[in-house]
Amino acid sequence: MTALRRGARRAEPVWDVAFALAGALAIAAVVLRAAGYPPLAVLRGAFGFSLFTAHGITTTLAFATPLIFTGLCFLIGVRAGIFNVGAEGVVMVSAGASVAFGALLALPAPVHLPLTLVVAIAVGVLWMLPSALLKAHRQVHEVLSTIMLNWIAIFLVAFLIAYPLRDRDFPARTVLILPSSRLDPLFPGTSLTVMLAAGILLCLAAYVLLYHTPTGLHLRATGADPAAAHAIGIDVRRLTMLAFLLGGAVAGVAGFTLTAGFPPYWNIDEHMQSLLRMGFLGIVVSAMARNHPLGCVLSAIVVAAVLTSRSYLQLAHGIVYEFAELLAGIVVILLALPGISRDIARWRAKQAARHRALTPSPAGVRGR
Amino acid sequence: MHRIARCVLVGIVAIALWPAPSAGAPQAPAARPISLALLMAAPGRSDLSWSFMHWLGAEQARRTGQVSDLRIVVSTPATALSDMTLVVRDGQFDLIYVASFSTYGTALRDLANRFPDRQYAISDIRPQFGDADPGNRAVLGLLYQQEQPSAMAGALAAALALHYDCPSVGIVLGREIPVLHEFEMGYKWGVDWAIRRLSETNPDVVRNKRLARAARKDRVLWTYTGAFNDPARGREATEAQVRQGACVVYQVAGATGLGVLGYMDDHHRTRNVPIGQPPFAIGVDTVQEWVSPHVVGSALKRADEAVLLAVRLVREGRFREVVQRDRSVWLNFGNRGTWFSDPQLVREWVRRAVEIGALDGSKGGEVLANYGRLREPQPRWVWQLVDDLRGLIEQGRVEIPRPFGDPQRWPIERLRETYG
Repeated sequence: MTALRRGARRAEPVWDVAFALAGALAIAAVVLRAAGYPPLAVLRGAFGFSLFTAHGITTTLAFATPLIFTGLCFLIGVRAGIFNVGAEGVVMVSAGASVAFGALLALPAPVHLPLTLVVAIAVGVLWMLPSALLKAHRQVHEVLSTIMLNWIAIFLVAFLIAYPLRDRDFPARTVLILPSSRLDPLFPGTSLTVMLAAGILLCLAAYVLLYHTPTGLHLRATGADPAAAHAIGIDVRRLTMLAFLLGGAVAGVAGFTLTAGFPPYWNIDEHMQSLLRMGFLGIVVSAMARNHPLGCVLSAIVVAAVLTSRSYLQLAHGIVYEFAELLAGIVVILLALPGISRDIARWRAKQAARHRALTPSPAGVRGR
Repeated sequence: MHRIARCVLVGIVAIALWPAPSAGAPQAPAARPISLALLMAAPGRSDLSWSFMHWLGAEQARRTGQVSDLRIVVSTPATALSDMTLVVRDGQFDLIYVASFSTYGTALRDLANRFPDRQYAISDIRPQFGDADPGNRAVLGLLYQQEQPSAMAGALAAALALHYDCPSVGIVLGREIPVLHEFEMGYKWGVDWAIRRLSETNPDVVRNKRLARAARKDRVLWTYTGAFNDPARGREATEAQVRQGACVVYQVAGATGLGVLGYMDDHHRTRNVPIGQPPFAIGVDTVQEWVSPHVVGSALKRADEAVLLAVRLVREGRFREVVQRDRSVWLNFGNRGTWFSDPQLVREWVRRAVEIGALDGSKGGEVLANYGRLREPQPRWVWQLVDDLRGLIEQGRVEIPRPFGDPQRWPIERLRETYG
């Protein structure tokens, strides 16, 4: 009986997603019908295209790759009880850093590519540092600090695109990353690279870290109840910092993936459209995966499949772009809804507890 | 209960996910009217300027029977390669028109080399292929000289500022991307040209005027708002410029520019300033006289003409020949591919907008009446000056800086040292 109940509880996330998906499709079908399109043919065609054609699959997987990393960034934060929405900004600056390092420096091939990745990660960590310090030492709300930093990042990269990284021969984008620092596509004519495998491995690593190491236990304890974690001697401040900086590192990998790892572009376009929203979609990915690292890959693929289907909708059914975006938006929001609403409720409940744990106790009780 | 509901939902999902066999592949093209795929950058035609103009050309081609099958695809750079592969791969389109080189440039280069037997056209860039590349004979570039209408916007703004004795004129731009440098510098050059020209031909209107007395670098107030989709920022920037004395503001900011026009409407309404009195706005890309009654002119890039031109070349079977010979076609004052709006064009535009249903008939009449009230109070020499510059540009007798078209010769940094 207990085993059955445990099994049912384990299956709960799957039901969550199934319900959300069915609800999303039902609403999408109603909207399509109201607009005069055949709903079943359109929806079947869209998913068939994204998940069952060679072109659709490679595109879906290529889009999913950066989402895995930004999903992990949010996920690590949530596990430690932090609502870290700074992935958007980190993706920007680390993409900028990847282009700067990959395009402006001429290094031999075997070291250039790995060094570019290291630089992207380092910049990602550095960009998270202010929010981490502000949270750990001054209890500044991470939603505020990361959103502010997101805007700074967007304009910083806009400046880089308009001036130092500008390609005088092709002014609509930055200079190209040099061949020595590019990742080639796994299949010619696609944008899919080996970073997908890196994403899957990183999800496994995150799982091991969170669920099979003492640090992971402390992180989750901090997330579950900061006050209790503090009481049993866990350094909440250090772990808060760690969660931020790990998030910065993986989001940095996303920035690298979207530039050096996105053939045949290897650049940033003038409107930064290839980067915008990647960080925020990570929240959706994580929420849909119920903040579990092993679910991250699958939910990234589902979100990417929805995005991929937009072009099919326009081309095969003549559905206007705004409407295709609307449909994708409806589906994505509903997929994220169950997870994210629960996250927000939990997170708000924990804020007070964390505040108590981080506020220095009177008369030097701490550290005795 | 729950179990039944779950089963039903699982059923729905299963049906929805079932792969559809080659769903809805478009039909093969007919012989005469061609099939056209138009690829545009997000957000597509709702920008009411650049993409809208392309759509307008394509839609007109469809309505006049030149195009039988029109498909429109809107992409972001990240989806461009995937979307365009889908369009190109099966060869169902006679012409693939790319409206945004920043979004599709890389994908086009890649695909034109892999599928050189298709016919591609692209706005705003010279196709970049080596002589040996197969894509070399497949892509037609349609290039615009946006500095020409921008210079006319500058001349008109300067003339009006002299007439009303304002200390400066303004320009509100989107995010600072290189193509906007050409609008910015064309405008600043036009202001400078107008004052030099009037000092020689009509010194009375320049004498002791604040704009003419100001240092060259201080005459134009310019603001990059940092966005193409934020009317609130356009409004803010305009208000600041008007407060500092600008009585004409040129908008080059996409949807952000709608805030510039909106501010002008509110300014006149709340202060009871009649139509025909400053401050004025100058529009961009399309004939924006119909958006606000305070738009004295618009700097046009006739992307609709570009689409129609490419369609015509394909239908007449001359596409390959032109590509082989010229690689690209320039759209400028010479062939009216760029233009500065004039009364005849505004009338024509309103007629077309009414025809397509974008405006209803009575509103069209109102737009034209307001436009008449706007132009009427301005002295004749203002319009004369604008016409003079138009003539000089058409005859190629003035040289306007082109920091986007030829950045080596006209680096933006050096131009700003001269013109501010």
